[in-house]
Amino acid sequence: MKMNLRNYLLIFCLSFFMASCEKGPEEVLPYENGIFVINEGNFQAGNGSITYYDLISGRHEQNIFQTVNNRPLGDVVQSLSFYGDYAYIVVNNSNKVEVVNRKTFEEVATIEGLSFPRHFLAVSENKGYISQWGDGFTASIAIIDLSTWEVTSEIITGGNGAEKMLQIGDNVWVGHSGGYGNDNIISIIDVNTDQVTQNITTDLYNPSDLVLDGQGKVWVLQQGGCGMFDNDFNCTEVFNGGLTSYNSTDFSLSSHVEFVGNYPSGLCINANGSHLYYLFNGSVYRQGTSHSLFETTPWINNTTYYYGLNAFYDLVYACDAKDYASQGAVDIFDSNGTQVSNISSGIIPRDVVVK
Amino acid sequence: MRFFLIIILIFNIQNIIAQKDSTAIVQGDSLPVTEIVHEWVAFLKNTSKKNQIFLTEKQGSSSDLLSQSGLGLHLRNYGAGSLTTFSLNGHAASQTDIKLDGFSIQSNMNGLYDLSLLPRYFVNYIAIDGSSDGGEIGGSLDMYTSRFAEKEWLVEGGFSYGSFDDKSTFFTFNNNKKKRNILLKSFYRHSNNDFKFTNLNSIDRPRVRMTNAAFQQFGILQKNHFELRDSSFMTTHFWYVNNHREIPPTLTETSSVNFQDDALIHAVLGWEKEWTSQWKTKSFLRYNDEYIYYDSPLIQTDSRSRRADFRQYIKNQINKENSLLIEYNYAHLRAKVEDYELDVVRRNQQSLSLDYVFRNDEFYSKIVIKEERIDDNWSPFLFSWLGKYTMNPKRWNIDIILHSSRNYRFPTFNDLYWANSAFSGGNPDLLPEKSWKQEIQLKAFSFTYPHWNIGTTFNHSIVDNWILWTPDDVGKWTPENVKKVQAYSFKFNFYKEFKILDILNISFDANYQYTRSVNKDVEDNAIQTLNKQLLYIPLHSGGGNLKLYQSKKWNIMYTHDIQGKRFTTTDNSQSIPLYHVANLSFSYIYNLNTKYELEGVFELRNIWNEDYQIVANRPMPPIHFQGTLFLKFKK
Repeated sequence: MKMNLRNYLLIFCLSFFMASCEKGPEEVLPYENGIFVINEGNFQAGNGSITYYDLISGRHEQNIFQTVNNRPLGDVVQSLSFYGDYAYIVVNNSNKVEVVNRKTFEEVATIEGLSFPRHFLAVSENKGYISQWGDGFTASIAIIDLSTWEVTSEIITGGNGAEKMLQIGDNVWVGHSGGYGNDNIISIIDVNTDQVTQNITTDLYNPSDLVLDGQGKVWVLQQGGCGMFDNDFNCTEVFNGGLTSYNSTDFSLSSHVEFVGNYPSGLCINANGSHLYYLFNGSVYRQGTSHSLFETTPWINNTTYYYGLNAFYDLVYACDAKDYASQGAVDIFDSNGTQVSNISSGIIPRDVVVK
Repeated sequence: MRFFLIIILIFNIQNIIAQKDSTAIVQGDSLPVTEIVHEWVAFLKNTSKKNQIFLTEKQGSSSDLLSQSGLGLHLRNYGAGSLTTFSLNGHAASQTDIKLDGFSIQSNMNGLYDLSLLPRYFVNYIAIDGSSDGGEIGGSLDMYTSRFAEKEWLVEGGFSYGSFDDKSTFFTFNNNKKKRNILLKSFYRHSNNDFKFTNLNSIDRPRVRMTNAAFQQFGILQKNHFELRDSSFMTTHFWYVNNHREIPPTLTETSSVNFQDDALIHAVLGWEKEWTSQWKTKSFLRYNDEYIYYDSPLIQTDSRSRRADFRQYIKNQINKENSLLIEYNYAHLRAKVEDYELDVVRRNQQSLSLDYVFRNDEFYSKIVIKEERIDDNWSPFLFSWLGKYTMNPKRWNIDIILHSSRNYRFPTFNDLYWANSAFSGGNPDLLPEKSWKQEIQLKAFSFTYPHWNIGTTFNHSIVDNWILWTPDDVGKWTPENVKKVQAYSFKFNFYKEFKILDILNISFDANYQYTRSVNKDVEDNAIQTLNKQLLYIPLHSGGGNLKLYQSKKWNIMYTHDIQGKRFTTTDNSQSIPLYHVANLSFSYIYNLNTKYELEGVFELRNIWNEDYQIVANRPMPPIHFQGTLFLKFKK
């Protein structure tokens, strides 16, 4: 049969039309091998979210928890951790942790009974820790049974504002940001007994962020803070921030640098543990872990005021909250400080996790 | 003419229908909002459309009245007793003037008025006026307190009970002599407001009960009207409302112990004299006092703001067709707020306006020029023109109305004086917001029975120097003149009333509104919000009422309100979905004898049991009821 061009076009159009009419089951695309941006959202607006960027396909989705589960994630999304088959999303002002399937982000459970939770850490196959502020003056660690996702017990750390946790062997180091005041302790918890075995007193206030470098040293970012406010809530006594390292075995002080000013944040480390990154006055700084000289100029030379920072596989992810009310962005830099990419995020991006 | 006939035909075919234009209803015992409003009201009264509706609307607050009106209004609240704000034609709530008996009652502090604080038992009429001839950027909501009865004596008592233990009591005493009128009204309401709702934010979507949502409100209204020896008139008006409300948790919070107390006083003394048939004056003194205490685990703050006004009207009826009205207003405002830079902040503001009205059978024109001085700052020259041309066939009218105005809004006390700290601070260098507004209306209505009307309105405005609180690079929140906003809306309305079987009246009205309100100029770091719809302003909204009634005896009314999808983030990345809410009410008047009358009202609200949110993460009540009984003595 001889077919002319018109017939080919007709068949093509019909087949296209028929294909478009077919409606199979909606494909659920997995959330693997990608960048997850933790978007805090506006306080009390309940618009915190997770943004996903697929590193292989370039697929870019906003608000994936709501897309998958048809409900909002919550108010002030604080952190995201992966363990086993699950992802744990800590939602601070909703006092909960959402447990989702790590590949599909389908809801699995909600851990409730928490008080202003900050971070999740799985310390064994069946046990997790969640740091929480409580009333801002009684920091604690909620112990979670990972088979039932229920709070089984609580460890009072003795500090204010429990923050990031770092597990080294049987010890979990717990930083404190001071909660609604100030604090200068790092708590060491034995994961076998769930007891605080030691509180390390730091020279500077509010040791919130902790990372382990390639030489077995624990680096601690102390945010500093404010010692006294006037009636208009202006700070009249500044506590400087700083960067301190400890030997992870005997908890002894290794090095110490004090900044001029307060509220550094976002301490993170590259893949081989050779360089630290952190934010100070909104700029990205880099510090070699074995360097004796302290870097005093920003590593990234731009005018953006970054709100959050993290590093994975030798790339550095800097979160730009823009106007703090609408979509932000994440700038991605290579190890030379060259911007290699940029992705849009949800409202107030505060951290990035790459899986 | 053919053009208008085609428009009407299209509307009838498509059933595109709507409400009572930008000015709904108004009472006539104060100076007019606009002359046109009065004509419109007269028409509505002739149809006896509203007389009976108000029988069903004594319980609750004025915000309930508006939210259940079926007018498709842009109200923002989260149920009974909650903070309720109102905006018109795509503007912000703080740009919409809220007036009580002609006086602005918005807070000196944040420029808002919480409509849940005004019991609807005290309110007789509400007029929605988009024309901005007072210089308001977002138009105005004009509320008028209860009128004196037409009888010599009226004593009324009533109580109401509804779902969620919602209890109210009402009392009215009204005595009218030839030369004096006295009116006293009181009101008390308490509700646990602990309705059940589906927690859509929770993993199992459980049905849970609202907590920390109770509220209690009481108030008193006292009005007097005296004729003095020189044939002048004196009026006094005193209004006090006290409110305690718990603030429930949002769907993203597990609990709340927050609460707020409010106390509001509003007092007016007026004197009116007709010097000659041409000259008439009115003088007013007004005092307004607002106290707020807010309590949460982190914040306890109390604030008080006061305002005193002197207002003088001089009206000259030049001849039958021309009149002139001069209005002078002096106001002293002060506020004492813990979080302000200064212990007490003060403001003196004066305004002078001149209204010129020309009217004949076919034309109406009103020109308003106004200048305002706030402390040492002069407002821009404000101007408003409204023109109406009436085509007057034998059986029905067509009105063509054009309006244009130059408007502005001075920053609030919070904008200017909020104490500077690491987290927030006012901005004393803020510029006033300015806008140009244009409106065109076409209305057609019948004078003869069966009554009907149909209308359409197009409204457009550009607002410059829009004030917005935004965080800076370090997260400190300050107000800035950051935006330019373009807002425009189309409205269509339809109303029809007819009789069947010679005894049963049926009236039907419906409306639709398309509102686009977008950012046209933003800061560099908010470029993602350019050309995006403003928060909580739906593109589509509408509603309607269907009423069956026998004059002065009983009525059944079905009201339906629709609000389209509303964006909850400035970049329009998140939204809450469209909702429908419908209410059904039944009222009956039983005359015990010539002096005593019993009124019963039963309302079912949210009759389709819709799960919906007006404010994100704030659930609204499911289907619920309210029953009200009044005993009236009148002689």
